Formats: sequence, C-alpha cells, structure tokens
Amino acid sequence: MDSLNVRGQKVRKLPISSRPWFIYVVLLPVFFVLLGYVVYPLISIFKDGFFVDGHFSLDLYRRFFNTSSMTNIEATWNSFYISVLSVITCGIVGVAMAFLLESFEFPGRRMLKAFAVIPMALPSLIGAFSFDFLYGESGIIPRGLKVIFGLAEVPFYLDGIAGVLMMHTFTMYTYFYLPVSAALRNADTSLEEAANGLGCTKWQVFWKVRLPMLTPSIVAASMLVFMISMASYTAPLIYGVDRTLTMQIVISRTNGDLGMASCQSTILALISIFFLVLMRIYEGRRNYASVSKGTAVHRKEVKNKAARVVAIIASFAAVLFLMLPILTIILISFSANGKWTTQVLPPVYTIDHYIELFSNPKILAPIRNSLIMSTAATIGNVIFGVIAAYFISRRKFRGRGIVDKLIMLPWSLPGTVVGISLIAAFNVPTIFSFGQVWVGTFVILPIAYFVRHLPLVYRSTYAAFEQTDGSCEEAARGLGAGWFYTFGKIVLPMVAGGIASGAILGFVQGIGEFVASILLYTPSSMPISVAINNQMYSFRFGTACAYGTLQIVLVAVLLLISEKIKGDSNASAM
Amino acid sequence: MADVILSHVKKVYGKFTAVADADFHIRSGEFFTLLGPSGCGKTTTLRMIAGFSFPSGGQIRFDDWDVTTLSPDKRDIGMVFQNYALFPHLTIGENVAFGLKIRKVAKDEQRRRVAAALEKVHLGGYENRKVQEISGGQQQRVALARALVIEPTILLLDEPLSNLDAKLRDDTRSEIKRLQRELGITTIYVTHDQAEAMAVSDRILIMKEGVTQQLGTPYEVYYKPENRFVAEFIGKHTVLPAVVEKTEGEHCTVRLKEGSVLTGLKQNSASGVSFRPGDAICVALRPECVEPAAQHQNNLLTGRVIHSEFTGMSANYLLDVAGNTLKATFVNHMPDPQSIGKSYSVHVPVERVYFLKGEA
Repeated sequence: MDSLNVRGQKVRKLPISSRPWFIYVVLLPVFFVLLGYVVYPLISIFKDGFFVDGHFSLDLYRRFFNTSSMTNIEATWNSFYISVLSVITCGIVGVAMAFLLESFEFPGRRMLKAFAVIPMALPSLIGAFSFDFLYGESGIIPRGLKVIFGLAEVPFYLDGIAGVLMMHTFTMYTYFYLPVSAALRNADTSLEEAANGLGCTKWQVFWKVRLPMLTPSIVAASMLVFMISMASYTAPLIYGVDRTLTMQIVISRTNGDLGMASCQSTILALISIFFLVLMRIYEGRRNYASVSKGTAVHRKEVKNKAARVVAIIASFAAVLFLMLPILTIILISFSANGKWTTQVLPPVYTIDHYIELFSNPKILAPIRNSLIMSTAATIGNVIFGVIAAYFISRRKFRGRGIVDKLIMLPWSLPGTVVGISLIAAFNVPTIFSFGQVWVGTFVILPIAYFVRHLPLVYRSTYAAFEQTDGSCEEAARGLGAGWFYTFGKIVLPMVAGGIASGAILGFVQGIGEFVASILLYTPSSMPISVAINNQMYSFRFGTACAYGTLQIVLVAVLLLISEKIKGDSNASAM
Repeated sequence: MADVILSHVKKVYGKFTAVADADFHIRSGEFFTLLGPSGCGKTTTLRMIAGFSFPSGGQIRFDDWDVTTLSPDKRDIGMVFQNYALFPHLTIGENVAFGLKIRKVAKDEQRRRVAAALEKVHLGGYENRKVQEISGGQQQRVALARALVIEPTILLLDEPLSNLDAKLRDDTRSEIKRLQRELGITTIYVTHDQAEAMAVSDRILIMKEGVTQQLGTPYEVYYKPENRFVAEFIGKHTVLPAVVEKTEGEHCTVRLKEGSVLTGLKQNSASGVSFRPGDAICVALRPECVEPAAQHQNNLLTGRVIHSEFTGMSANYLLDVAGNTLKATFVNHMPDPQSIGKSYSVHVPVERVYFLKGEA
C-alpha cells in the first residue's frame, strides 16, 4: 500500500520512470520496428533459401555451390576480388591524396582540398552514367582523342571490371582520404620530433612512427570500402559485369526465382555481417588517441619554381577530373533527346528538359515520389533514432548492446539484400505489415529507406548525446523541471545539431537511392533514380541528366547546410 | 531551510553495496560534508538526497517530509555539479532564470532575482553572455547562482571545485562558504579533498567503501580519529602497532615492535581502546606531533632517514621505524642534507601520543 507523506505525496513507490520495466515499455515501438523490418525480413530470406515449393530442401544451396555451373561461385569470387582490388586502388589514391594535401604546401592546394570530396555529393547511379558518358566506348574523352589525333578507333575506353574499379576508386577513395588526412592533421608532430631526437632517420620516422599512427584509420577504411564494394550494384550494372553477387541477386529476382535470390542474399548478408563484426571488434580495440594535444602540422612548402608551376597545373587538372562527371551531367541535361549519336559532344541544346521537369506531371511524379518517400522515411528515422539513441546513451539496461547492434545492422547490409529481404517478408500478409501485402504498394519503399538510413540518424544522434553533458538533464530536473519539459527544452536542443546532420544525410541518401528502389518500386512509387535509369535505357539522355542535375543540386545544398550546422554546433560545444 | 534525516539508507547494485547504512541527521543551516576517497559512496548518498537515484532501503526526510522516492523536480533542491552542467544553448541569464521560469515567477521578478543572484557571485551584468565565453571558475559561480536563485530548501554540491585550478579553488571555496553563511542554507557538500572539507564544514561524515567511518566536527575528526582509516586519511597519522606495558593513573605506556617505549594519556584515544597490559594497541602520530629529540630522554623513536626536504615553512622527514614509515614535520628547523641513510631520533610529547585500537 502506498502511504502519503506530510505533503500528500505518495511514498514507498518508485517514480514510474525509475522502475526497471519502464525503459522496455518506452522502447517497445523501437523493438517492434527492429523486429519487423530488420530481423524478420532477414529471417525470411534465410528461411526461403531452405524451402522449395514449401518443402525443406538444400537444393538452392546445392545449386549455388554447384561446380558444373559456376555462375554463383564465379559471381562470389568476382565480387570478392573486385572488392579487394577496390580497397587497394582506393587506399593508394586516398592515402596519397591525404599526404599530398596535408604534408605539402603548394599553389593550388586549398582549391584541390576543397574539391577532393566532390565525389561524395555524386549519387551513385548518375555518377556511374556520367562515367560511361565520359570514358565509355562512345564516351566524350575516347571519341575526342580519336577525332583530335585522327585515329581509326577510339584509343581506349573503360569497360567491364576495369570500369567498375575506376568507378569505385573515384567514388570511394574519400573513405581513405578523409580519416587519413584527419589523422595527419591531428597527429602530434612532437612525436616525430621525439623520434628524430632519439636518432631515427626521416624514413625510419615515417615507417615506425607516422604510418603506425595511421594504421587504425587505414584498416577501418579498408573494411568499409570492402563492404561497400561487395554491396556495389550500380557500377557492375553500368559496366555490364553480370557475374557479381549483387547482379545475380537482381537477375534471379527479375527471373522470378525469389528462392535463389533469397539464397544469394543470405550469403551476401552473411559476408557483410561478418565484416561488420570484424570492424566493430577492430574499432573496439584501436586506441591510439594521442595523449597530448596535437601541435600544428608543419606543411613542407614547395619552393622550386618549376615544381610550383607543375603543382598548379596538376592541381587544376585534378580539379577538372573531379568535376568532369558533374559538368558532363549538366551539359547533357541541356542536350536535345535523340540528337547525340556519333559526335564527340551533343550537337543540339535546349532547356526543354528543365521546363518539362516542372510542367509535365509524368516527369514530375518521380521527383515528388522521391521527396515524399525520403521525407516520410526521415521522419521515422528521427523519431526512432532519437528515442533509441537517447536511451542507449543515457540509460544502462539489459539488452542495450543488442538494440544498438540491431539498429546498426542494416548499415552493413547491401541495398539488394534489404530489397530482397523486404520482398521475402512482405509478399504475404504479416502482423508487421498490419495484415497487408506490402510488395507492389507504395509503402514498401519508404520502409526500405527507413531501414537503410536509420543507422545514419541513430549514429549521428548517439554521438551528439555522448558529446553532451548528461548532468545538464539532472540539473534541469533538480531545478524543478519535469521529464518532458527537460527533454524538450534541454535534452533535445543540446543534440539538435547531431539529429539534423543525421537526418539530412539520411534524406540525401533517400533522394539518391537506387539499389533497393529498383527492386521494390511500383509505377506509383517510382523514385528519381529509377526514372533516370528508365530514361537512359530509352535514350532520353537529356531528361535523365536533368533529373540527375536536380539530384546533385539537392544533395549539394543539403550537404552544405549540414556542414554549416556541424560547424555551428562545434563552435558552441563546450 | 530544513533538517535532512537519513535513516538506515542503503544502496545496492546487484551484489555491490554502494552505501551500506547511512544514518545521520543534518541540522538546519548546517554545512555538512561527505568526505572519502573515490568509490566510497559519498556521491551516491548525495544523489539519493537529490533524487537522481533511489535508496534500496531506508528513508530520507527533509524535516518531517518523506522524500525517499520523490523525483528530483519535486524536492526543491539546488544542486551544483562537478562539471557545472550549465545549459550550453542558453545564455547565462537564461541559465540562472531556468528554475524561476519553471516556478512561473513573473518576468520582471525573474529579471530582478537573476540580476541579484549574479551580483552575489560577482558576475553582475553577465546576463547576455554565452556559457562558452566565460572561464571555468565563472561557470561554476553561474552554476551556484542558478542553484541559489530559486531559494531551495537545501543546497547540494558535488565536488564543485575539482575541475578548477589550485588558486581558483581556494577563492571559490571561500566564496561558497561566504554565501552559505549569508543565506544560512542547509548545505551538503561532497569532496575527496580533506583540506577542503576541513576548511568549509561544520561537520564531516567520512566514508569508505560505502560504510560510515566517523561523523564529527573538523576538530574532532582531526584530533580524535575513531579508527586507522580516519587517522591516516585526515591527519596523515603514522600508525604504529604496539603492546600495552602498564597504566598509571591517566598515563599508559606502550612498547612498540622494535622496542621503543612511549607514554601517553589514556584520554587521547579512540573509543573502545583497551588499556589492559599485554593487549595489542596502536599508536597514531601526526607529522607535526613529533619534534627533534634534542635533550629529551623519554618518549623517543629512532629510525633511519629515508627522505628529507625543506619547503620553507617546514622541514619534512620520512623515517623508517621498524618497517613503518614515520612522517615528521618540523617548523623553524633546518634539515641536515647529510642525514639520509643515517639514524635519527625524534621525541613525542606525552600529550600528543594518540591511541587507536590494536590490530590482530
């Protein structure tokens, strides 16, 4: 029985929010969502891989590992070695760029540094197409060279696995470049001076001090690039490399063999999860945080006159190379459809595609779809991401680690796997789809975006919670504010920057999403990327590139806003 | 203002007992300190008084108001945190006004009271500054103003000085004491720094591993430690095991392990010490209790000099007395730099010998 104290308040009963079960009740919606849209779909593909016509069977796996028809084994092997090669090429380019831009001072350095991250703003599909426009067999550069030098054939072109590797290197070298240059910037130069003082030569300092300090970022980046390469679908699609796991999954699905697609997806998912676990273990172990505050890095100034001229020319060339894909898309967006055949550059220009974009309802629909679906997914991400991040960061409870891992799981899953698993899960009515069949309806795509981008919002918000002071919440409670007031006026505003930048990132990904979309879209929910793909295949390059330009502008503006927010919240962090 | 009464309060996390049996009565207007090394349960105790965590057993009352399981926002407390916990997205004025806003104080009244509170901590006119623009010491004073402006029943301070540098720490310490005396507010202060505790407190509760060791005025815990832990922690006593030789009236003579004999007064002892001849006993000596042997013939201790240093105000020696390290501090004394490794004798005046219970 509760008794009352002298002020008529109940005593001998803990406040509801302090009871052990409270947290689980609050997190119930999060559990439901994770169970329904992450765990259950994965179980579905796993299960579907073992059932043929409703009977348990190992047939699908027998077919996968069949040595007489090597398709799947070859695809797995290709995916694997393309990924390994991508890690190597991205690593060389990214680390070299980082050293170049952080260790030397030369004319053009700041410009090159500003443009080095441009590939990040390039949505995957439009990026892949622009590469084909530039360096493909009928691409601008090969044809241009042919015309300039009066050759009979184009001197080179990118195709097949080489094309995929080039594409991967261009879009993913930043995963090495950014962490390595950050590590170089924050490196404590006094360590190198100490090594020097202890009698190390310059080379010894490099090999024994500098490189080991970079190892954590390089290893982490390698695993990340490996995972993303394994998941890559657009590059193999554009360069016609059918024998990769992702391509095979989509091909199986297109052929109506959902069982095989499930089996292939399961294997790809297992590989991805294996690498996620590996990465988490490695991240947990690495601990090279410098004990002292880094002193400013001294960049070596290039003084030789000839070298300075070379440097500035090379910088301009590099910036041009980095910008070419975007410039190409913009150029083609102004070209008339169907007029560009064998010429080096499109011959006829028009602004009709842009007018169409906003006047023709059929052309406008995909833009509207993408905006609506990304917005819906982002709202869901913010609600669930913030709730989960708050409780996981601020409270200790049993199962905290599992919830964290489940939320992060889709981050490691390839878009194809997410797509196939949602199909496998929701082509029948379930309680998670409220008794409806979701495949073939509008809702399944926002669900896919939600699942894929929840980790981004969650991580970003979680990091913001970890960086802010938990006792501020207690201070507010102590001053007499109730839980909800404190949450709204103190807790949320303190992490608003983290939420916003995560939400923007998720939204941007939604706008550019192609891989899961191509598997799940219906005519009523066709997003921009699928529309681009369809327009390209009907040779309406101008329209496709107008969509692409719009995508790039949206992405660039949103990323700039996010940078601004980050800058502001860094400035106000204590 | 209120009394704060803890009756048999304990806090258990699984198998770990953070606070065993906190049972004390803090008087209205008192400056009360919870003192102990980290992990002793002092902060846990404070957090239970504040309502940030709830006791596994026992009762907490403010006067006759049972607040044991009341959430913190209903307790009418003012709390100052170790890391200030100022709201980074609000100005200094908004920070201080936060509690008043919650209490729906009128805007004009708010402005007046915020200004007065900032004035009191010597930060008048800082209302529109951002939290990030002011120094750590100033932030701590804003936190103090924010806690006091709501005129709370009790003021709770959780290691408020530990993030400040040495000079600021002394200034802020006297500032806190001055404010407390002016307002006469019941104050509970948590610290691990015994000098800080001695300087500000009316009474000190010393804790170790969740268990109360001693409760008393600074004078009591310094001069009359109840056990070895308090003796070593507060007065930096050297504790030497001994055996009772004989008692004569007020005097008791004990023999130390290595053979020297010390005589002291029976009244200078912790409670429960047995003076039966042959019983084990401990002698506790503060560094400033011993003096150079000079012409003295009795109450002598002899040891090998391990270390000597001169700080200006005093000369400090470390002597190895039969395996125990005796700290000795002499004022107006010039140490002999040649003494290290040599034998050195010190004299302990009879009235400065302190007895603790013998250890098995």
